[in-house]
Amino acid sequence: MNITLIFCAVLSLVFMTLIIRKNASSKIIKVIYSLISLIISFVCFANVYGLLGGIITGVACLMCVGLLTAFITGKALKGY
Amino acid sequence: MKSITLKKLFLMHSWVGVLTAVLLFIVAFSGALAVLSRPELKIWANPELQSTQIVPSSDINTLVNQYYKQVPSAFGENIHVFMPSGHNFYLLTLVFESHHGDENYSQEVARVFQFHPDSLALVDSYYGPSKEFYANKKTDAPSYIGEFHADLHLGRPIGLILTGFLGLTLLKSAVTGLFIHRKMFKELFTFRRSKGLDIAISDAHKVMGIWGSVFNIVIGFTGAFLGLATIILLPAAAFVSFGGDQDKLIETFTAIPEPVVSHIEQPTNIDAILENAKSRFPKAVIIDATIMANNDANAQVYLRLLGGEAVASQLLHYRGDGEFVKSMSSFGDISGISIKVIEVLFPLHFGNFAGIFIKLLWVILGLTTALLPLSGMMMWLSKRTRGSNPTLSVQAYTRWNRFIIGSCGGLVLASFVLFPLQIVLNYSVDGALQNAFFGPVFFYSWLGWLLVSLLPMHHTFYFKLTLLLCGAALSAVMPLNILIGQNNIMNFNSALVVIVDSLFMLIGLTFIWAGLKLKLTKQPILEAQTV
Repeated sequence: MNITLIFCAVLSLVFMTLIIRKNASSKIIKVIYSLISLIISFVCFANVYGLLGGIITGVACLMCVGLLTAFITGKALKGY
Repeated sequence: MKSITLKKLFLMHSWVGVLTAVLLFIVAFSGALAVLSRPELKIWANPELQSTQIVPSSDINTLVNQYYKQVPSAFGENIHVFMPSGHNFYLLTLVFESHHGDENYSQEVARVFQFHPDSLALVDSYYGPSKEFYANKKTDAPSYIGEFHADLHLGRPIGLILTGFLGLTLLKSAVTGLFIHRKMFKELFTFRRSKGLDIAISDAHKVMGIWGSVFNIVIGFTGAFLGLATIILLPAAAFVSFGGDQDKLIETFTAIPEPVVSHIEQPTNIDAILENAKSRFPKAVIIDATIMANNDANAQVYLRLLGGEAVASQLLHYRGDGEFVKSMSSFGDISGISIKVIEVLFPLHFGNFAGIFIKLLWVILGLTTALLPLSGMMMWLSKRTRGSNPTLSVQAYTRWNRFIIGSCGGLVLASFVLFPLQIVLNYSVDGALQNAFFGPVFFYSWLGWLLVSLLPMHHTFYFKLTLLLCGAALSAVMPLNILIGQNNIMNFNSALVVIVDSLFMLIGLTFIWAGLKLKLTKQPILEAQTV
């Protein structure tokens, strides 16, 4: 159960970073999808590690996912 | 913000980074490894722990009472039971302490009995000053790296002050970095790997800095606190609140006070207490137990727990008859938000408040913290080789690169060499005698590789050699374990050993692959000049 929850949380964060990264989406769409994904992941982590542990893990996992997404997918600035 | 202020911040960011880059890499890399040192790598390093880390409560109760009868009554005042959980000792350890010494010693003295976690056979015993016992306890490769991270093996307080100071510089670099990168959101995902090495390094530095900023700030702050707390903060707090009396301050914050012995006999129910703690916090690990005034009506038992839903470590207080009194922090039952914050600082730094998933996050983020000063240093160097009037010559650029590879790559190599060494030592050297080997092998291999940087060779070739040697050291772990190890991938006795050995092989092969793929260039700064 815990592994499933952690998997769901990580997947939500990956989805969130991909949404933020996507240029084609409008800002409002990005904000709505990002918030939903963020809430899902925090709820999943909080179920596994408790409230405080869930928040800390959520932030740390977001940093890792963002970092790996940037390195794996990579994106040039506009004009390059 | 005014451009002049930004320029000052940029200068501060650059110079603090350049001056502390190598030291920051050393502390951050060893820290990233140290996250996994206890209990995972410690269990891997000690075959005794591989069989089991859980001793039945009834057996602990029997052993404590059996050996309590054998030691003089003064040694029963304070009994410590260190569980073989992989956090402290590699054996189940019973320490019977007399705080006031005995007929042979005028200082705190201990009688210690150590048992194999699985068979519970007596493996080792000790009688002498308590301090000597704790100072000379058996260490292993992961613990050695963990201790190196704490004080760089420079001893205390110098080592602690240095690592604490490096925490402050990391904090300063992380904060100034956020201010000077004005295109923060735009550069969240900018990583142009096909635009040349310089641009890729610059992008990587920014991406790691932005995404890892919260982590770097937290690690910098907690690291500075852990390093400087006992050296600067404790005397300062004692000066402010206790008229400079540090002993009184420590006494106030000690969670385990001495009980009043009633001399009325009543068996201490250790078995029931341990079982109660396990049922209350099933996800937590009991690290150790302290039994005060054993088998007395006023006996008190304290259990230290790690993990579970509580982020900070907990101290459970029981009466000797098994009645639960309270759960508190390791600083004692002190109210106030500041104590709660201090409690959380420890797990936030170590990443040990839950399972392996969080530890892996800490390892990844810790490695980016290590790479940040290096990438910054490379940017600083290459910037000085560009333009019509470069301030750095080709030779100087190559020498600087060799120094960075020798000092930082040398540390990685020295750390990796300790793992195959551990397998060899487990086969050939008994117990605490192993302690004598880690220091010389670690520091001489590091120094040796740093001295190689003095040879007139191309830095790319030197880097290639470093990668290949690091890969060879890690890849040697699995074959060595198969040949001479007690538990290995062939007999599959321990799942943890199989996973760790496989990961070492995978990482080692990746290093070798990267080393072989690295193309040697004859023009050291051609790329830097053309950007």
